[in-house]
Amino acid sequence: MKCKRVQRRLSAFLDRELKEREEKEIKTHLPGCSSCSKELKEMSSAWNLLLELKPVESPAYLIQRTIAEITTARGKVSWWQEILLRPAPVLATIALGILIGGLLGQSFYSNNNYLGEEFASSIYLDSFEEFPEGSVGEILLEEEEES
Amino acid sequence: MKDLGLDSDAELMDKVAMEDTAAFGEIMRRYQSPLFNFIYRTLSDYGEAEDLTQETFLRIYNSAKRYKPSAKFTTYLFKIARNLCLNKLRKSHRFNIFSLEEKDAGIQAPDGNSPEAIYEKKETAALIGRALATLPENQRMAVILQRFHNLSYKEISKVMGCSVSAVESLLFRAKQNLKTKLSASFLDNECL
Repeated sequence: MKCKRVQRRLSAFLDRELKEREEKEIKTHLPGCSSCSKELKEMSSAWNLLLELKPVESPAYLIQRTIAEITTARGKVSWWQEILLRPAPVLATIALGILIGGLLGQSFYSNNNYLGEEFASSIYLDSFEEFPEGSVGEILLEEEEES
Repeated sequence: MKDLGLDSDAELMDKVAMEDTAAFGEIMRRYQSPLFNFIYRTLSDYGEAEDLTQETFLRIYNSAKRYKPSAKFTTYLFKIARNLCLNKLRKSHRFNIFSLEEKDAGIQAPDGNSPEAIYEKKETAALIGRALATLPENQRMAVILQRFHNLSYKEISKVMGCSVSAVESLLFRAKQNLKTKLSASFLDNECL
């Protein structure tokens, strides 16, 4: 195996990700090659330095906070979900609303009937007045009657 | 009542799909620390790591019904976290970041060490943390998954949505970069 190829595979060699045959080839190459050995040593040192970074402690309250978030989200239900989840009370409320609306509407119109009659008479009154004397309407009406 | 600690991840996820918050609590207990550390090392911001850890868990909970245990649970977990981290980095236009305020959070000084030794350890951790944080984001994530979470190249490829050879290439370049970044401070003495 040539140095260029060995050096290209040193990273995977270090991570023990090479196939057995390739790993064996590198192991055979290294003792006789100072350049590849130096490269491996430097790479390995840098790689091991990372382990100086110890795990950071995560906040203890995170689990409670997340569970609380889920519980709150569960409590928030949209109006259509409310109908799907609890149809009986929602439909009963709608029916009650229609009933009350109907009763109120009925009592309103029954108490205001005179207003309706007055209004009707006021708009039709002018329509049946006779045409004024000498008007085009009167002449046309007379002609029609004569014919 | 059955001890949830004995359930496999897949069994717990089945229960989470039925909105079992106790099972979800067990999932969080198992993975809170690795998930938080993955996000923290990727973003280098403690507060953002808190928020994104919670967001990742919420997504896991909300998509539990669609979860299929075809791969390791950690692969699924890190994949969601990785996507959230990338969104965060792109939205905030941060690519090479390192929060100086948080730089010491990763070091745990052993009891009884002198203040000088503690300071030195903190400085060392800060330099290494900075070298890691200034790697390109894909290299950084591959390094974190391999070095701190012991994922294989195949598992990393699933998390990152790329081929195994692409992962190998990312880690090769990451090691070269780390060697360059750390050589001035550490490697000269160690390797000569």
